[in-house]
Amino acid sequence: MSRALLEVKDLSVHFPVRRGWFEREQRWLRAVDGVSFTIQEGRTLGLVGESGCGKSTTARAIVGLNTPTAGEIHFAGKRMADLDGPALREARRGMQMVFQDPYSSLDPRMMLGDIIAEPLRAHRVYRSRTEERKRVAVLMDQVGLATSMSGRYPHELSGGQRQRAGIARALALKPRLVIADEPVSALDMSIRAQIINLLGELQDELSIAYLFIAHDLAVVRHTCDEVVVMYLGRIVERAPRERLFTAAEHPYTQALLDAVLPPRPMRDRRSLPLLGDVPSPVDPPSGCAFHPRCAHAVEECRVETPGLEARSHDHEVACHLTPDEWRGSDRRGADA
Amino acid sequence: MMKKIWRDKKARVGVIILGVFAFLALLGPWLVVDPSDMVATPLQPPHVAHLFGTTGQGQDVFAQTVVGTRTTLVVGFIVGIVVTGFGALVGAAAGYFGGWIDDLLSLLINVFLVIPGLPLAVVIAAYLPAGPTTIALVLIFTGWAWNARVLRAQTLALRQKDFVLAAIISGERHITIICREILPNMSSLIVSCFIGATVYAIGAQVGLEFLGLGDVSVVTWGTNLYWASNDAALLTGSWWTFVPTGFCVAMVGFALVMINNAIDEISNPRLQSEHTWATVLGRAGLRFDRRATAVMRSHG
Repeated sequence: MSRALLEVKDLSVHFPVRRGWFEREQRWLRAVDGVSFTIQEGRTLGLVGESGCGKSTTARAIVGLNTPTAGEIHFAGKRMADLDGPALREARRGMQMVFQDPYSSLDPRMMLGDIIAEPLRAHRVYRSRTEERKRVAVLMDQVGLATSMSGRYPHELSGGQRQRAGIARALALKPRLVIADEPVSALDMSIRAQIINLLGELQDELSIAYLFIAHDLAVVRHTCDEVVVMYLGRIVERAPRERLFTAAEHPYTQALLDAVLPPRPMRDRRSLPLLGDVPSPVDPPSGCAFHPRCAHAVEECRVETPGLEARSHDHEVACHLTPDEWRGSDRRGADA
Repeated sequence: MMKKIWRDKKARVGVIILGVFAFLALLGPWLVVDPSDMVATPLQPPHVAHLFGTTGQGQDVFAQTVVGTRTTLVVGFIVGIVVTGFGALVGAAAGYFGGWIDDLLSLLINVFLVIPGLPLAVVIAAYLPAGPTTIALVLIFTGWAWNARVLRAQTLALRQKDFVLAAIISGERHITIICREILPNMSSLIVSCFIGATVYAIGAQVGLEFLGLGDVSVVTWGTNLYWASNDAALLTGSWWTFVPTGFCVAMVGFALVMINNAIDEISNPRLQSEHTWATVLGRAGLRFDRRATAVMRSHG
């Protein structure tokens, strides 16, 4: 059943950093640095990492808001860089996006019905207003909004309702891929579950593929078939969901897993929490970018950047050590 | 929209004042004596026969004030409209497209900004054939850059909003995005730019004509002041020759600013629904809290 719908190959997005008028040397912010993954038709890939690790930049490069510095994006068998003009527009129809902040992703001056109909109008899908209105009503029904709300303005809706409207807009063109950029991070806990369930139901119903971006592994656990963990613009681990949650092989993934609030906090804590902040992507650390924060780093980690290596047919890790080598050896803990 | 403006007290005052002047501009010339005719003894203070007195040439000041309204307002509003329209076009294009388009347009805007407007206007007006058309062209030429600059900055901010990105992703054309997402979301800023530009245009026009750079044979508020000064109104103590005109200029400016304040509230749906809510809650004897958002229930 599975065919690659989206294929990202060695994607890099670098931004020039201007330091001053007289600075000779041009510096680059490596927001995304050699990222590859594929999403199968109708499946969900989770993209996880802390703020500033390049998740959103990856998403924006896929939909064309950022221009890749290097690498290729194939969507539905077509290389995006080969397309332009109407062909590119047509290809982009198949991928839509749900945004993180439901408060800024809806135009405050437009009524809900118009917001949801916008993609339909942009592509002139329907000739008559009646057909368009029917389609908008179907979409609103699909995402659980009362059709009577189509005349409402965004400020009259709650956060969850707005996010439903954002999802309806993304579905309007019947996309094959929906990129959800932290779709529930801005919502209350109780609403999160509703939206996640809604996304799951829509996937079953319409067989959409999702690229699900999150900074929280707890959210990913309920939605994704496969998970990619990013750190400072690079992939550190890629594994099927079950494997990632039971047998993570990268210390960073393990730290993220431990950061998920455990049901029994006093008994279940397994390692020390992550300390410090993500380093600047303009000036990344030598060797493995994670080594300054890693509790298990050895000399090699400071010198050499580990590549992404296959540990089994569907599990890739970028770490010099195997879990057996680093588990239980908390060097930072020993120092302290 | 008009109804909403009417409901706002401040705006109503502004609209009424502006309405009176618009009426005078339209029909004024048919209601009063010919403002250029010598109708009485020069420099008479206000009395029953000549409500605002007479000028040094024995013309009726009331008639001059009324007749001067038309040219002054027409030039003011035309300059306001053109300056705002052109500024919005240049500013939105620069802010939306960015890159070399922005570099080029920003350079143009900056060049026009560093040129001192009024002195240049004086120089140009002195060279071109005098008259209201010249004044309008000069004020448009020297006045558009400020609005372009302000609207460019606002466009830059809106360009990064998720709803604009969403429109881009959904395949909307650039022109449509500018017209449907960017411009409506800064409509209150555009209106306030328009009103600011109009007030400036009226002031600058009166100023230029006061300096004698307009056609002094046309009756406008500016030339009224020119003639008052020419006839040494201050020396002779004939205040009635310039106070009515000055008062009219001030009143038009006041009315425009009043309307501006109200439009800010009206064009923002959120402020508006807050207003409605405050009224509803007030009727129920409750206090309105700005921190709470009124939300509609989606089921049941």
